[in-house]
Amino acid sequence: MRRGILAGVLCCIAIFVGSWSVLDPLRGKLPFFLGDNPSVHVMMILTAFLYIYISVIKPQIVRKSVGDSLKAIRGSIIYIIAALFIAGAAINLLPSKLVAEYLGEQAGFIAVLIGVAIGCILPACPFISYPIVFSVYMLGAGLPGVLGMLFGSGTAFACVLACDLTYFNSKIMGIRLLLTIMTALVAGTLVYIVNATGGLV
Amino acid sequence: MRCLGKILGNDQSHIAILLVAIFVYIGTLIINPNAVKPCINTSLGEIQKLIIPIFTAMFLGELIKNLMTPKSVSKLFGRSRARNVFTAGLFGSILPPCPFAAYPLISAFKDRGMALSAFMTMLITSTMVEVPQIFAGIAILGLKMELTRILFAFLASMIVGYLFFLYRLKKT
Repeated sequence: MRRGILAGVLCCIAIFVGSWSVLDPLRGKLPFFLGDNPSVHVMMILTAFLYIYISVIKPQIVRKSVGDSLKAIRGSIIYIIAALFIAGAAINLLPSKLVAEYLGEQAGFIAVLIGVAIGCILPACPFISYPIVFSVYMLGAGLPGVLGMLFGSGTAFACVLACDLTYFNSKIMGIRLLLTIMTALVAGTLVYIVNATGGLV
Repeated sequence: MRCLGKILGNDQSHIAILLVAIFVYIGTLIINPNAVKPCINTSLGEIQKLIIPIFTAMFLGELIKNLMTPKSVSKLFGRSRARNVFTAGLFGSILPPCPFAAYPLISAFKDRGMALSAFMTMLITSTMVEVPQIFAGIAILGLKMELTRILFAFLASMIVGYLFFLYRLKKT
Protein backbone atom coordinates (compact mmCIF):
# COMPACT_ATOMS: atom_id res chain seq x y z
CA MET A 1 0.00 0.00 0.00
CA ARG A 2 2.78 2.39 1.03
CA ARG A 3 4.76 1.41 -2.07
CA GLY A 4 1.72 2.27 -4.24
CA ILE A 5 1.31 5.71 -2.65
CA LEU A 6 5.02 6.46 -3.03
CA ALA A 7 4.95 5.31 -6.67
CA GLY A 8 1.84 7.45 -7.28
CA VAL A 9 3.42 10.57 -5.80
CA LEU A 10 6.70 10.05 -7.69
CA CYS A 11 4.88 9.39 -10.98
CA CYS A 12 2.71 12.52 -10.53
CA ILE A 13 5.84 14.62 -9.92
CA ALA A 14 7.54 13.03 -12.96
CA ILE A 15 4.45 13.71 -15.13
CA PHE A 16 4.32 17.36 -14.06
CA VAL A 17 8.07 17.95 -14.48
CA GLY A 18 8.16 16.04 -17.80
CA SER A 19 5.10 17.89 -19.15
CA TRP A 20 6.54 21.24 -18.14
CA SER A 21 9.87 20.44 -19.82
CA VAL A 22 8.26 19.39 -23.15
CA LEU A 23 5.96 22.41 -23.08
CA ASP A 24 8.66 24.97 -22.26
CA PRO A 25 12.46 24.33 -22.34
CA LEU A 26 12.36 21.34 -24.74
CA ARG A 27 9.57 22.69 -26.98
CA GLY A 28 10.52 22.29 -30.67
CA LYS A 29 13.81 20.58 -29.76
CA LEU A 30 12.60 16.97 -29.67
CA PRO A 31 13.44 14.53 -32.50
CA PHE A 32 11.04 14.64 -35.48
CA PHE A 33 9.88 11.01 -35.03
CA LEU A 34 8.18 12.00 -31.76
CA GLY A 35 5.87 14.33 -33.71
CA ASP A 36 5.72 18.12 -33.51
CA ASN A 37 2.66 18.55 -31.30
CA PRO A 38 3.49 19.32 -27.61
CA SER A 39 0.19 17.75 -26.44
CA VAL A 40 1.39 14.47 -28.02
CA HIS A 41 4.63 14.71 -26.01
CA VAL A 42 2.62 15.23 -22.82
CA MET A 43 0.54 12.16 -23.76
CA MET A 44 3.74 10.11 -24.21
CA ILE A 45 5.02 11.12 -20.76
CA LEU A 46 1.61 10.37 -19.25
CA THR A 47 1.57 6.92 -20.91
CA ALA A 48 5.07 6.00 -19.71
CA PHE A 49 4.49 6.98 -16.09
CA LEU A 50 0.94 5.61 -15.97
CA TYR A 51 2.35 2.25 -17.09
CA ILE A 52 5.09 2.49 -14.42
CA TYR A 53 2.54 3.34 -11.71
CA ILE A 54 0.06 0.61 -12.68
CA SER A 55 2.93 -1.90 -12.92
CA VAL A 56 3.58 -1.22 -9.21
CA ILE A 57 -0.03 -1.51 -8.03
CA LYS A 58 -1.61 -3.91 -10.59
CA PRO A 59 1.12 -5.64 -12.64
CA GLN A 60 -1.35 -8.09 -14.21
CA ILE A 61 -3.25 -5.17 -15.86
CA VAL A 62 0.00 -3.87 -17.35
CA ARG A 63 0.84 -7.31 -18.72
CA LYS A 64 -2.63 -7.60 -20.26
CA SER A 65 -2.53 -4.03 -21.65
CA VAL A 66 0.90 -4.55 -23.25
CA GLY A 67 -0.31 -7.83 -24.78
CA ASP A 68 -3.53 -6.20 -26.04
CA SER A 69 -1.63 -3.20 -27.43
CA LEU A 70 0.85 -5.37 -29.30
CA LYS A 71 -2.04 -7.43 -30.66
CA ALA A 72 -3.85 -4.24 -31.76
CA ILE A 73 -0.68 -2.87 -33.36
CA ARG A 74 -0.01 -6.14 -35.18
CA GLY A 75 -3.61 -6.27 -36.38
CA SER A 76 -3.81 -2.70 -37.65
CA ILE A 77 -0.28 -1.59 -38.58
CA ILE A 78 -0.71 -2.43 -42.26
CA TYR A 79 -4.02 -0.51 -42.42
CA ILE A 80 -2.57 2.49 -40.56
CA ILE A 81 0.28 2.62 -43.08
CA ALA A 82 -2.23 2.23 -45.95
CA ALA A 83 -4.32 5.10 -44.51
CA LEU A 84 -1.20 7.28 -44.19
CA PHE A 85 -0.37 6.48 -47.84
CA ILE A 86 -3.92 7.49 -48.85
CA ALA A 87 -3.48 10.70 -46.82
CA GLY A 88 -0.14 11.38 -48.59
CA ALA A 89 -1.79 10.84 -51.98
CA ALA A 90 -4.76 13.04 -51.03
CA ILE A 91 -2.44 15.91 -50.02
CA ASN A 92 -0.65 15.76 -53.40
CA LEU A 93 -3.46 14.78 -55.75
CA LEU A 94 -6.62 16.53 -54.50
CA PRO A 95 -6.82 20.09 -55.85
CA SER A 96 -6.92 22.38 -52.83
CA LYS A 97 -9.25 24.70 -54.76
CA LEU A 98 -11.82 21.88 -55.01
CA VAL A 99 -11.51 20.99 -51.32
CA ALA A 100 -11.86 24.65 -50.33
CA GLU A 101 -14.88 25.01 -52.63
CA TYR A 102 -16.83 22.12 -51.08
CA LEU A 103 -15.41 21.82 -47.56
CA GLY A 104 -13.89 25.28 -46.98
CA GLU A 105 -15.33 28.09 -44.86
CA GLN A 106 -16.83 29.73 -47.96
CA ALA A 107 -18.91 26.60 -48.71
CA GLY A 108 -21.08 27.49 -45.69
CA PHE A 109 -23.47 24.88 -44.33
CA ILE A 110 -22.98 22.68 -47.43
CA ALA A 111 -19.50 21.84 -46.03
CA VAL A 112 -21.15 20.24 -42.97
CA LEU A 113 -23.46 18.11 -45.14
CA ILE A 114 -20.62 17.01 -47.44
CA GLY A 115 -18.33 16.40 -44.44
CA VAL A 116 -20.87 14.16 -42.70
CA ALA A 117 -21.59 12.29 -45.95
CA ILE A 118 -17.86 11.61 -46.53
CA GLY A 119 -17.35 10.74 -42.84
CA CYS A 120 -20.13 8.12 -42.94
CA ILE A 121 -18.16 5.93 -45.34
CA LEU A 122 -14.83 6.34 -43.54
CA PRO A 123 -13.61 3.49 -41.28
CA ALA A 124 -14.67 3.52 -37.62
CA CYS A 125 -11.06 3.03 -36.45
CA PRO A 126 -9.65 6.51 -35.67
CA PHE A 127 -6.07 5.46 -36.43
CA ILE A 128 -7.16 4.78 -40.02
CA SER A 129 -9.76 7.51 -40.63
CA TYR A 130 -8.14 10.46 -38.81
CA PRO A 131 -5.02 10.72 -41.05
CA ILE A 132 -7.36 10.92 -44.09
CA VAL A 133 -9.49 13.63 -42.41
CA PHE A 134 -6.34 15.51 -41.39
CA SER A 135 -5.01 15.50 -44.96
CA VAL A 136 -8.27 17.13 -46.11
CA TYR A 137 -7.83 19.75 -43.36
CA MET A 138 -4.27 20.44 -44.55
CA LEU A 139 -5.64 21.05 -48.06
CA GLY A 140 -7.75 23.96 -46.84
CA ALA A 141 -11.01 22.50 -45.59
CA GLY A 142 -12.73 24.61 -42.94
CA LEU A 143 -13.48 23.56 -39.35
CA PRO A 144 -17.23 22.85 -39.93
CA GLY A 145 -16.42 20.55 -42.89
CA VAL A 146 -13.59 18.72 -41.10
CA LEU A 147 -15.55 18.31 -37.87
CA GLY A 148 -18.54 17.15 -39.95
CA MET A 149 -16.26 14.41 -41.33
CA LEU A 150 -15.14 13.51 -37.80
CA PHE A 151 -18.73 13.43 -36.48
CA GLY A 152 -19.86 11.24 -39.34
CA SER A 153 -16.76 9.04 -39.18
CA GLY A 154 -17.67 5.37 -39.01
CA THR A 155 -21.43 5.81 -38.49
CA ALA A 156 -22.33 3.79 -41.59
CA PHE A 157 -19.13 1.78 -41.89
CA ALA A 158 -19.49 -1.91 -42.69
CA CYS A 159 -18.13 -3.28 -39.39
CA VAL A 160 -20.48 -1.08 -37.30
CA LEU A 161 -23.46 -2.17 -39.40
CA ALA A 162 -22.33 -5.81 -39.08
CA CYS A 163 -22.16 -5.41 -35.27
CA ASP A 164 -25.66 -3.84 -35.24
CA LEU A 165 -27.01 -6.89 -37.01
CA THR A 166 -24.97 -9.38 -34.98
CA TYR A 167 -25.85 -8.09 -31.51
CA PHE A 168 -29.26 -6.55 -32.23
CA ASN A 169 -31.50 -6.52 -35.33
CA SER A 170 -32.23 -4.59 -38.51
CA LYS A 171 -34.81 -2.38 -36.76
CA ILE A 172 -32.27 -1.23 -34.15
CA MET A 173 -29.67 -0.80 -36.90
CA GLY A 174 -32.08 1.47 -38.82
CA ILE A 175 -32.93 3.59 -35.75
CA ARG A 176 -29.25 3.78 -34.72
CA LEU A 177 -28.21 4.84 -38.21
CA LEU A 178 -30.93 7.50 -38.42
CA LEU A 179 -30.16 8.88 -34.95
CA THR A 180 -26.36 8.92 -35.40
CA ILE A 181 -26.61 10.71 -38.76
CA MET A 182 -29.06 13.16 -37.12
CA THR A 183 -26.58 13.64 -34.25
CA ALA A 184 -23.71 14.23 -36.68
CA LEU A 185 -25.79 16.85 -38.49
CA VAL A 186 -26.84 18.53 -35.21
CA ALA A 187 -23.20 18.57 -34.02
CA GLY A 188 -22.06 19.94 -37.41
CA THR A 189 -24.76 22.62 -37.29
CA LEU A 190 -23.70 23.64 -33.77
CA VAL A 191 -20.06 23.88 -34.91
CA TYR A 192 -21.14 25.89 -37.97
CA ILE A 193 -23.12 28.36 -35.82
CA VAL A 194 -20.36 28.74 -33.20
CA ASN A 195 -17.71 29.08 -35.93
CA ALA A 196 -19.78 31.70 -37.80
CA THR A 197 -19.97 33.79 -34.63
CA GLY A 198 -16.19 33.55 -34.22
CA GLY A 199 -16.32 31.20 -31.22
CA LEU A 200 -13.93 28.59 -32.62
CA VAL A 201 -11.14 30.86 -33.86
CA MET B 1 0.31 -17.31 -47.01
CA ARG B 2 -0.64 -18.08 -43.40
CA CYS B 3 1.69 -15.30 -42.20
CA LEU B 4 0.07 -12.85 -44.66
CA GLY B 5 -3.36 -13.89 -43.40
CA LYS B 6 -2.21 -13.23 -39.82
CA ILE B 7 -1.00 -9.73 -40.73
CA LEU B 8 -4.08 -8.84 -42.79
CA GLY B 9 -6.59 -10.35 -40.36
CA ASN B 10 -10.09 -11.19 -41.48
CA ASP B 11 -11.71 -7.77 -41.30
CA GLN B 12 -13.01 -7.27 -44.85
CA SER B 13 -13.81 -3.60 -44.27
CA HIS B 14 -10.21 -2.78 -43.33
CA ILE B 15 -8.88 -4.72 -46.30
CA ALA B 16 -10.93 -2.26 -48.40
CA ILE B 17 -8.63 0.56 -47.15
CA LEU B 18 -5.60 -1.39 -48.26
CA LEU B 19 -7.14 -1.99 -51.69
CA VAL B 20 -8.08 1.70 -52.02
CA ALA B 21 -4.46 2.68 -51.26
CA ILE B 22 -3.14 0.19 -53.84
CA PHE B 23 -5.63 1.34 -56.51
CA VAL B 24 -4.93 5.04 -55.84
CA TYR B 25 -1.19 4.50 -56.36
CA ILE B 26 -1.58 2.22 -59.42
CA GLY B 27 -4.07 4.70 -60.92
CA THR B 28 -1.72 7.62 -60.27
CA LEU B 29 1.18 5.66 -61.77
CA ILE B 30 -0.83 5.15 -64.98
CA ILE B 31 -2.39 8.63 -65.23
CA ASN B 32 0.34 10.85 -63.80
CA PRO B 33 3.60 8.96 -63.03
CA ASN B 34 5.39 12.15 -61.95
CA ALA B 35 2.98 12.59 -59.04
CA VAL B 36 3.76 9.21 -57.45
CA LYS B 37 7.14 10.18 -56.00
CA PRO B 38 5.86 13.30 -54.13
CA CYS B 39 2.90 11.22 -52.86
CA ILE B 40 5.25 8.53 -51.49
CA ASN B 41 7.59 11.14 -49.98
CA THR B 42 4.70 12.91 -48.24
CA SER B 43 3.36 9.58 -46.97
CA LEU B 44 6.76 8.50 -45.63
CA GLY B 45 7.12 11.87 -43.91
CA GLU B 46 3.69 11.44 -42.29
CA ILE B 47 4.55 7.87 -41.22
CA GLN B 48 7.85 8.99 -39.63
CA LYS B 49 6.08 11.82 -37.81
CA LEU B 50 2.98 9.94 -36.66
CA ILE B 51 3.82 6.28 -36.12
CA ILE B 52 5.31 6.62 -32.60
CA PRO B 53 2.53 8.96 -31.36
CA ILE B 54 -0.03 6.50 -32.81
CA PHE B 55 1.59 3.52 -31.04
CA THR B 56 1.75 5.49 -27.78
CA ALA B 57 -1.95 6.34 -28.14
CA MET B 58 -2.73 2.66 -28.68
CA PHE B 59 -0.79 1.66 -25.54
CA LEU B 60 -2.55 4.32 -23.46
CA GLY B 61 -5.97 3.43 -24.92
CA GLU B 62 -5.54 -0.27 -24.07
CA LEU B 63 -4.42 0.54 -20.51
CA ILE B 64 -7.46 2.79 -19.92
CA LYS B 65 -9.72 0.13 -21.45
CA ASN B 66 -8.37 -2.51 -19.07
CA LEU B 67 -8.66 -0.22 -16.05
CA MET B 68 -12.32 0.58 -16.70
CA THR B 69 -14.69 -2.22 -15.81
CA PRO B 70 -18.41 -2.17 -16.65
CA LYS B 71 -19.11 -2.74 -12.94
CA SER B 72 -17.30 0.41 -11.88
CA VAL B 73 -19.06 2.55 -14.48
CA SER B 74 -22.55 1.07 -13.97
CA LYS B 75 -22.66 2.66 -10.49
CA LEU B 76 -23.45 5.92 -12.30
CA PHE B 77 -26.94 4.80 -13.26
CA GLY B 78 -29.85 6.27 -11.32
CA ARG B 79 -33.54 5.52 -11.06
CA SER B 80 -34.92 8.49 -12.99
CA ARG B 81 -35.50 7.61 -16.67
CA ALA B 82 -34.52 11.11 -17.86
CA ARG B 83 -31.31 10.90 -15.81
CA ASN B 84 -30.66 7.47 -17.26
CA VAL B 85 -30.48 9.00 -20.74
CA PHE B 86 -27.69 11.27 -19.52
CA THR B 87 -25.81 8.54 -17.66
CA ALA B 88 -26.23 6.17 -20.60
CA GLY B 89 -24.74 8.89 -22.79
CA LEU B 90 -21.83 9.31 -20.38
CA PHE B 91 -21.26 5.56 -20.20
CA GLY B 92 -21.47 5.20 -24.00
CA SER B 93 -18.91 7.99 -24.39
CA ILE B 94 -16.23 6.16 -22.42
CA LEU B 95 -16.78 2.75 -24.00
CA PRO B 96 -14.01 1.34 -26.24
CA PRO B 97 -14.26 2.91 -29.73
CA CYS B 98 -14.37 -0.43 -31.54
CA PRO B 99 -17.96 -1.72 -31.94
CA PHE B 100 -16.73 -5.32 -31.54
CA ALA B 101 -15.64 -4.42 -27.99
CA ALA B 102 -18.40 -1.96 -27.07
CA TYR B 103 -21.50 -3.73 -28.39
CA PRO B 104 -21.35 -6.79 -26.08
CA LEU B 105 -21.40 -4.40 -23.07
CA ILE B 106 -24.29 -2.36 -24.50
CA SER B 107 -26.12 -5.58 -25.30
CA ALA B 108 -25.68 -6.68 -21.66
CA PHE B 109 -27.29 -3.44 -20.44
CA LYS B 110 -30.15 -3.89 -22.91
CA ASP B 111 -30.71 -7.45 -21.67
CA ARG B 112 -30.95 -6.11 -18.11
CA GLY B 113 -34.01 -4.08 -19.14
CA MET B 114 -32.58 -0.69 -20.03
CA ALA B 115 -35.14 1.75 -21.55
CA LEU B 116 -34.99 2.12 -25.35
CA SER B 117 -34.20 5.85 -25.18
CA ALA B 118 -31.24 5.27 -22.81
CA PHE B 119 -30.07 2.31 -24.89
CA MET B 120 -30.20 4.35 -28.11
CA THR B 121 -28.33 7.25 -26.46
CA MET B 122 -25.65 4.79 -25.39
CA LEU B 123 -25.38 3.45 -28.94
CA ILE B 124 -25.16 6.97 -30.39
CA THR B 125 -22.46 8.17 -27.97
CA SER B 126 -20.49 4.93 -28.34
CA THR B 127 -20.35 5.55 -32.10
CA MET B 128 -19.90 9.31 -32.03
CA VAL B 129 -18.25 10.62 -28.86
CA GLU B 130 -15.74 7.84 -28.15
CA VAL B 131 -13.63 9.47 -25.45
CA PRO B 132 -10.97 6.67 -25.63
CA GLN B 133 -10.33 7.96 -29.17
CA ILE B 134 -9.01 11.13 -27.53
CA PHE B 135 -5.46 9.76 -27.65
CA ALA B 136 -5.72 8.99 -31.37
CA GLY B 137 -7.25 12.44 -31.89
CA ILE B 138 -4.49 14.22 -29.96
CA ALA B 139 -1.79 12.22 -31.78
CA ILE B 140 -3.15 12.99 -35.25
CA LEU B 141 -5.40 16.06 -35.12
CA GLY B 142 -4.16 17.99 -32.07
CA LEU B 143 -5.70 18.73 -28.69
CA LYS B 144 -7.93 21.65 -29.71
CA MET B 145 -9.71 19.90 -32.55
CA GLU B 146 -10.13 16.68 -30.57
CA LEU B 147 -11.67 18.47 -27.57
CA THR B 148 -13.97 20.42 -29.91
CA ARG B 149 -15.05 17.12 -31.52
CA ILE B 150 -15.81 15.48 -28.17
CA LEU B 151 -17.65 18.51 -26.75
CA PHE B 152 -19.93 19.03 -29.76
CA ALA B 153 -20.50 15.32 -30.36
CA PHE B 154 -21.58 14.85 -26.72
CA LEU B 155 -23.83 17.93 -26.81
CA ALA B 156 -25.51 16.79 -30.03
CA SER B 157 -25.88 13.22 -28.71
CA MET B 158 -27.64 14.52 -25.61
CA ILE B 159 -29.96 16.73 -27.69
CA VAL B 160 -30.92 13.83 -29.98
CA GLY B 161 -31.10 11.39 -27.03
CA TYR B 162 -33.53 13.62 -25.11
CA LEU B 163 -35.60 14.28 -28.24
CA PHE B 164 -35.88 10.52 -28.72
CA PHE B 165 -36.77 10.15 -25.02
CA LEU B 166 -39.56 12.75 -25.38
CA TYR B 167 -40.79 11.09 -28.56
CA ARG B 168 -40.97 7.70 -26.77
CA LEU B 169 -42.68 9.31 -23.75
CA LYS B 170 -45.32 10.85 -26.02
CA LYS B 171 -45.82 7.60 -27.86
CA THR B 172 -46.43 5.50 -24.72
